[in-house]
Amino acid sequence: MRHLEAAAIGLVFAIASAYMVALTARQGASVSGVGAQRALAWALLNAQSPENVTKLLSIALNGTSYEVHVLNWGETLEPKLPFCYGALVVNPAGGEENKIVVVCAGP
Amino acid sequence: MVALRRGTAERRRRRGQLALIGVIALAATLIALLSTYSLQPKIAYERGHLQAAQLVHLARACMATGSCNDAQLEELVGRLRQLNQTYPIRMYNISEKRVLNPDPSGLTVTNATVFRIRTLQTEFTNNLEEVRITVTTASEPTGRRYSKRVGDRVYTMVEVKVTYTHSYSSPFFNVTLCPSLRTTDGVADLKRLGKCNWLVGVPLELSRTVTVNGAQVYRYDLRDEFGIPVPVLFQG
Repeated sequence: MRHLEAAAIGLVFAIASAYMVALTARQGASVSGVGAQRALAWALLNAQSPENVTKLLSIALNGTSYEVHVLNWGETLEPKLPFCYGALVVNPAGGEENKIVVVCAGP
Repeated sequence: MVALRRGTAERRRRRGQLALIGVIALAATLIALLSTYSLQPKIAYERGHLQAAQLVHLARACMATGSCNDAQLEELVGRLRQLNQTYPIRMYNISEKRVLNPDPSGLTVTNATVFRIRTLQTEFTNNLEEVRITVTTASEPTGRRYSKRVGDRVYTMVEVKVTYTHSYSSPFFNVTLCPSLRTTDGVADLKRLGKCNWLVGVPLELSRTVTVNGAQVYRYDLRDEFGIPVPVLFQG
């Protein structure tokens, strides 16, 4: 009887832990989304060319799951991660005008 | 009699244990059911910092042309509006945009761009919010002059202390940057004294005369790291 009780308690504990882990992972997605938004804002404030913006982005998002797309006008965005933030990057001095830099983050 | 009492107590304990196992089994079943339930969260994308930074970026791109005016700014904002429909830019509604290039005050030149946007806050207060980009160049000649040879030419260099700042204010951040400066002709001398303070040796022969508040002064343009012209003013 006592073995049965111990097994039941263990089962409850295991299921509850798995549920908590799954819940935390889902919460994590929104956190990295916010991080991507602010990282792109910071990169935009500190750089004008698409190359420098993406360089700063990779520094800001180091250690998190993200992807960066540098697109030309009209190019289709095909992200693998779900939460995307984009910005128009105009670099009149560099000749590379109208790039769209998109950063996507997610779990 | 004693044996009968013991048997009754044993039966009660067993019933209690069975009830406990029943409760645990029920709890386990409920938690297991809950863990298979997939969440369908409503995602609210964070807006604010990126959108304000985007406007700062556009204002700087406009200033970098050297002759930013309302029409040029409108053209850039128009491009942004177009892209806003295709890409996840999520720009606020821009109600107003103005380029402010007031006359220099003394040897200080200030260029500003102001955007007035409808944020979520506006829905409650009905007041538009402001993103302001101010670029200030303050020149202060030290009085020192020296000669510099570049190739076959000898230039008269005028030493000027320059304070150069970018200030960005918005409901989401207030930032002051001290961008780095560079020469476009390789003749001027540049030395960074502090964060936003520079000592610049300006070639007099490559400077042009301009009228500021009715007085003739010399103007020599450097560029900052964003490509914006930085006007250094000094008296002859």
